[in-house]
Amino acid sequence: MTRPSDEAIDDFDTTIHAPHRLRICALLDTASEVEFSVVQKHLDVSASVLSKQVAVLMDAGYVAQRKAVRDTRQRVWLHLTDVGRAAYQGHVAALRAIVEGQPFPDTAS
Amino acid sequence: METETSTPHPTPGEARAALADVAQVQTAATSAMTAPFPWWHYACTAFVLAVLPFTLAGALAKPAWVLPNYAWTLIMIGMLCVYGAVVPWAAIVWRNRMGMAPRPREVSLRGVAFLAVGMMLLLMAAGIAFLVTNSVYVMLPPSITGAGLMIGLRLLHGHVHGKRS
Repeated sequence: MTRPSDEAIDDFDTTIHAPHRLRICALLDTASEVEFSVVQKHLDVSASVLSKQVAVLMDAGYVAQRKAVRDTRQRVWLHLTDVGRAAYQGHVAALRAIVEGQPFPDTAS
Repeated sequence: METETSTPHPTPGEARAALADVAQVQTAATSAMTAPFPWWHYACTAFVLAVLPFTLAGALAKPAWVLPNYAWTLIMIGMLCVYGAVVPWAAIVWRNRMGMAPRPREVSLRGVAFLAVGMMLLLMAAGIAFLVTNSVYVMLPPSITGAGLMIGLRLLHGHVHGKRS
C-alpha cells in the first residue's frame, strides 16, 4: 500500500539533487526568468561550472534559455520549463518527506 | 536486507541541509526582487496624481477654465495613455537592470489594486468636490495627497529594500 509520503519520495530527482543544480532550480523557481550572470552571481560559481550544470538541466528538459542582445552584448536568460518546475517542486516535496522521517521502502512491512 | 533498485536517497539530515540551501537561495532572490522601480516611474506617477484632479476640473468646469472642456478631456486621456506606456517601460528597465523577471504570482496584486482603486477614488472625490464648490482650489488637497503618497511610497520602498539587502 503506498502512502502519500511514499509517493512524495518517489518524486526524488537525482538530476536536480546535485547541489549546484538544486540551487539553480531554486533560484529559477522564484522568477519567470533570470539572466545567466545574475544566476552566477547569486550562486557564487564560475561561468564554466554554471554552464555545465545548466547544460545537464537543459538536456533533461528542465531548463530552457533565451538569448537577447542588450547594450551590444548578448545576454542569456534562463527559465524553468513546465516539466522542470514540476520536477523541482516534486523533488522539494520528496526532500520534505524524507526530513519528516517517513520510512524508506525497505523498512515497510 | 532487501535488495532495492531504487535511487539512493539522502538521509534526513542531508535532506534538511538541502532544503536549508534552497530556502537561502530563494530568500536572497526574493529580496533582490523587492528592489524599487526606476525613480522616474515614481516621478511620473506623482506627476499624474498631482495633475489629474486639475484636468478633471477643467473637463467639468462651466464656464470653460483656461481651455475648452474637450481640450482638458483630451489632455487627461492623453496623459493617462502616456502613463500607461510608462509603467511597462519601467518594468522592462527594471527587469534588464536586475536581470530577473518576477513570476506573475510575485507581483503584488493588492498593491496594484490599491493604487488603481485609490486613484479612481481620488479622482471621483476631486470631481465631486469641484462640482459642489465650483472652485479649482479644492483640487489642491487631492493633488498634493496623491503626489505626496507616491513620493512617500518610493522612499519607504527604497528604505525597506535597503534594510533587506
